[in-house]
Amino acid sequence: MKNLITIFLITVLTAYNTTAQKQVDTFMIQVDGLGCPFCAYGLEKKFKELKGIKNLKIDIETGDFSFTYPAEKALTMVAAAEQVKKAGYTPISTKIIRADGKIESSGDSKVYLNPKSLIDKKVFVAANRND
Amino acid sequence: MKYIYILLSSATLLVSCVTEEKPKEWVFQKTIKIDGVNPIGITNANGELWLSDGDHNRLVQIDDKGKILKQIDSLDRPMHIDSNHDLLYVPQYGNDKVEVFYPKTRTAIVLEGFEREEIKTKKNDSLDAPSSIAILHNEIAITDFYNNRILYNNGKEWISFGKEGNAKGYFYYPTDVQLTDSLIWVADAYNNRIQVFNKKGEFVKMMGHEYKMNAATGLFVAKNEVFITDFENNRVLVFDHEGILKQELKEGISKATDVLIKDDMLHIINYRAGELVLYDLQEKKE
Repeated sequence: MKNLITIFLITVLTAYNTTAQKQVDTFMIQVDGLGCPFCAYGLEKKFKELKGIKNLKIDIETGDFSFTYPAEKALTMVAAAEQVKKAGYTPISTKIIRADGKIESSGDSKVYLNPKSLIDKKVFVAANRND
Repeated sequence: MKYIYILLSSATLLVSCVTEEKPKEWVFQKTIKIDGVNPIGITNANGELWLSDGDHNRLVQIDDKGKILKQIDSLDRPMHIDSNHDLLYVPQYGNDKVEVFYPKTRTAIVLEGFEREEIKTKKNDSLDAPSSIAILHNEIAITDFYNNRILYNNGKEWISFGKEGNAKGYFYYPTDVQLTDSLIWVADAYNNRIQVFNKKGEFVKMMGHEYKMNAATGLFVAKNEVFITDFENNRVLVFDHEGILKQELKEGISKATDVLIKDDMLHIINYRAGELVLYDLQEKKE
């Protein structure tokens, strides 16, 4: 019986942890004027000020960058755009995939890259870990 | 007597012709691949060539074939570095620290007095993305990227000058700085120009603004020349100290971020391709 309770607790905790990990919003933003490492690192620096940000990837060729952010903090599109401006750049378009699957977008109707595919070292600035 | 004068004049003319220096120009020599490195800054530390590798948060020392000999890691976006003897001065964009490294021991110390002095003179002030540092004897200059200013220490005290804008003495994201005996030279990157100041922080002159640069990111001031990397246009412009364009270098240059003369060779680093490009000075072809 003791073993059964232990297994049950582990299962519940694992399930809870998995659910908790998924509770992030995914942001995909395209930025104008992002050409050099000074720009890319600057954008990274300003977004790292947002506590809880993870998986930040920046493509200095295309100006695309993406990150995940805890859903509970409900970072708005306006706030994300303001952070881009704080870094000295102009957001062209923003797409947010909320943790519950809802999609918000603004700006040009650009076809976004799948953030999971954004791992090419040749293209991307290797973002610092921020977790 | 008349003949003696003629003879002397002829001899003088002949000597002046023989000793007249022919004009020279920088000529592309070769490209050296530096595998796994995206260089941003370059410095010559006692004959050792060191690069900052911003993407990989480290400094690397390379040999003349591009092979990594030593590295200092665990940095946070090191940018345009400088050296004094075997000391390496490293501004870190990501954590706003400027550190001095002794490469032989890898011991890091926070730049002596910097934070303390800065806090004393300007309450609640701090760096926001230091993008370069320059050392000359006991003098230090730092470009403070997001604050659009230069911090300068004459060995005794800090001053700061500049703010955001495009007028003389204003900056739009400065990315590199160099000190000479009487002047402070700044790569005013997104105003696409070089600005020059005296050591009181007063504007002296600017150059390069009429050549349609697009991100003037890296600067090197030699005895008679000033080199500036034009990042987006894949070139390096060479001026004299008064801002007269002497040469435009393009061969082998791609997204260059910094430039340096070492052993009479011009060293240019290509950030994205991870390359070191060498030019040497040759007599100009007719």
